[in-house]
Amino acid sequence: MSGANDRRIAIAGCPNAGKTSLFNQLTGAKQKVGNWPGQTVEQFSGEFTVADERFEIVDLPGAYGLVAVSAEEAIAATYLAEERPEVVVTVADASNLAGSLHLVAQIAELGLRQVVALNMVDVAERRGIEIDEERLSAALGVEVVRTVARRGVGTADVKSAIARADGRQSPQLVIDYGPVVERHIGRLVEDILARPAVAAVGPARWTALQLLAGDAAMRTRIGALPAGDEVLAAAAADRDGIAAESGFAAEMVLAERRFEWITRLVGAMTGSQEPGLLWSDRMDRVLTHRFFGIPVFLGVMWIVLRVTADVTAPYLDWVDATVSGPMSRWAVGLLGLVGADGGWFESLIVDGVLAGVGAVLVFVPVLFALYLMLALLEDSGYMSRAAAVMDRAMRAVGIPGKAFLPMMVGFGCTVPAIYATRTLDSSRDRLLTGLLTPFMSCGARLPVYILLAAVFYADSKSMVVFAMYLLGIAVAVLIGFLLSKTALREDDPTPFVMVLPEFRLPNTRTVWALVRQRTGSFIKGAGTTILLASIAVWLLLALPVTGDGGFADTEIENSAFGAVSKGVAPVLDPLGFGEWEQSGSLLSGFVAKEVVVSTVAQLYAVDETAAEDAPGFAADLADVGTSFLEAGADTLRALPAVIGLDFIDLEDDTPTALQAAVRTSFEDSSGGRGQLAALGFMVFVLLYTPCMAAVAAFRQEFGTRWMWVSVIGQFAIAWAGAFIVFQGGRLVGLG
Amino acid sequence: MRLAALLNEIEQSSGLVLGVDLARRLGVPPAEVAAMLTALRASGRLGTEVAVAPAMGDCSSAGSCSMSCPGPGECSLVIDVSLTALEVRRSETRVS
Repeated sequence: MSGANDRRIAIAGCPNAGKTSLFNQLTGAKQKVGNWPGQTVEQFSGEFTVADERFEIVDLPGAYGLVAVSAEEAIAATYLAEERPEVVVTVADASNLAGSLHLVAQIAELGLRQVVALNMVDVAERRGIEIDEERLSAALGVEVVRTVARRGVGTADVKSAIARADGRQSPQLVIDYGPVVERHIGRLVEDILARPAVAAVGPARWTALQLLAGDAAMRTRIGALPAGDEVLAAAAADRDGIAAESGFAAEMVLAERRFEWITRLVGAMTGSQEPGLLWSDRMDRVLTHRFFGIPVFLGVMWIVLRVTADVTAPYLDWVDATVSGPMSRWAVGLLGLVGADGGWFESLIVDGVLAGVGAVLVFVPVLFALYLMLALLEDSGYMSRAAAVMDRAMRAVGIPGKAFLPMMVGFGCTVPAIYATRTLDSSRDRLLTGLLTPFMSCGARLPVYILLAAVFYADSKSMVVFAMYLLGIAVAVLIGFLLSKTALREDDPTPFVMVLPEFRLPNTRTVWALVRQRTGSFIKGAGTTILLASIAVWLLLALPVTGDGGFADTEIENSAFGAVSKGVAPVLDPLGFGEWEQSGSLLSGFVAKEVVVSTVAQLYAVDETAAEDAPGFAADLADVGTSFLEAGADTLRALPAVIGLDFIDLEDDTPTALQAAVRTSFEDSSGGRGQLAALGFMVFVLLYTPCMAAVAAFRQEFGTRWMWVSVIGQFAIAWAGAFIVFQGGRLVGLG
Repeated sequence: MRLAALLNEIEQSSGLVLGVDLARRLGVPPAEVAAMLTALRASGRLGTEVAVAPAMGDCSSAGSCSMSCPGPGECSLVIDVSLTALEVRRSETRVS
């Protein structure tokens, strides 16, 4: 793509300054992707032409400065120092000019020709920040161009500025670091210039500054050169000298002086003062407040679950009626057309696949609503506030500060949450957080809560679901507290600052993409894991181990599934759900929590469709369409209920065959205390092992021994939790 | 030495501290704290961790996700917390 005579241009900038947008605008489609030599970090390069001159441009990884902290920054710093491109385009965020000028200043100190793209000037203007780019240009000795890279504004000006800068003398910026530091810089520069190999590295003042700042990449580079050790020894002596004379580490003194220089420059360049409190800051004063933060968080969670559990009810009923009615009839009809009706195959399709997978698909509207609400919260910036609020609560009981990140991820899915523990530093913190994340209620548990809450707590469904989420957090905090005081005592925590993103209006596209991906993932799971689990459960139900029935023609309690479930049932009897169907559904829940619902459907509702009359395909189709529109209208009418305005009762009080069977089963197993038993069952589902995938992830991260501790511990806690709910409830006369 | 005072304030807090809390404690606007944090970050005294999509390693070996796993960092079930954690990096030569 590029020729030998192309001028090399590099584009640099802090993360999120709009560097990639400008790169895309400059190069258009003329891009290529590779890897930086010896690195897994992607390298993007491209080319563009100005007045018949062709330029090759390299997009450097985001960097805040040239003292490398991350691998990406090391790449950017090394490229600039060693390759010395003809021109560097540094993208500066105009709405955060001070933050961007550290990199600009360091590149100018390196003596490279530079064009500063003052990007996002539109955002800066909206915040009342006016920047005098001519004065800025004069102070830095570089050309400054105003851009809005996202919209392509200023791209042509940047190209022209590059052409003008190319070949021009490169001025080296000299910041006055104060008498103490300047004396040591001067001494180190002499040491560098006295050693030709080291002097050839770059401008001597720049090399000295990097060594005094403790830059590891520069130390390595100098150490490999002849007489490099002598320069490193001199630099170490100078660093000690600065520390002794100033009372602060050399890099702190350098940072302070550069910060002061930038602050003065920004003060002089901006026509208005930096804003005091943004509206986002004002909201944070409430949302992350020590006392108000938690009630606000609980209120937000309440609204999310109210929408999820109540407002979606009409659509849930619609999907349920469609799957158990017309779809099942159509499947039977199709099987009849190909002569496969009436036998074990029909049983497999209707009682296995449709009953199992269909029962899970019924909850697509619920998950859609949950994912929509979460996406709105994520994209608005509230999730990071929620994380901060949760962190405070957890830190108070000795759980590591950064544990809240994996735990928040756990609301979506436990598997990535367990992998997310890698963001923690110590093995103790990782293990402790890994042990706690499964207690955060993942999306897969929601269908179980909704199913049982609709049967036993129809009037307070969302309250029960809300209570489950809160209980999960409470148990995680309690277990974390106990572990941090006993087996996993706390280390000295690493201090860190959390920078919250500004609040913003959620972007429709981003929100829709998240909702589509997550709901799609749930539907895919129904088509893979749940399908396989439903077939496996059907096979075990069809296989007779007692009685005189044949394959697919046996009483389900005489099946292999019934036999295994009966073996487990006595363990759960004290919890109020010791019927073998209930223990069987919990056993199958080890595969994935949605399987609890599909198994319940297979066990209790096998005859639901067979009993119904067939009104005909056209009538079915018309009914599906009409009921869909009715569900939409009912959903709109249900919306005011989110804020407590229950104008109209939209709940269909007539229980489905499955709901009626579930009610009877729990009433029977609990001696007439079905409500308590169902609540205990939900607590058990919340607290026992999330799924096989989570167990595999846990084993991969923490080893087999801790995996068993986790699985057995979760089972014991789940059992104890359900026992307390059921037996405790009985004692005080509930249910 | 405003940056040193800010760094000291961060180190005094056990574990995590919010930029808005630091602003409150130091009596300066949050925007000024943000600028000082960037200065510390640019000087290498704070490291960065972006807690958007945690590295998940080889999810495909974990079980039921294997058939639809989009790969590390792109799992649609990961809740995006969208925040940046700046962690204090120790300096052996620091005096105070």
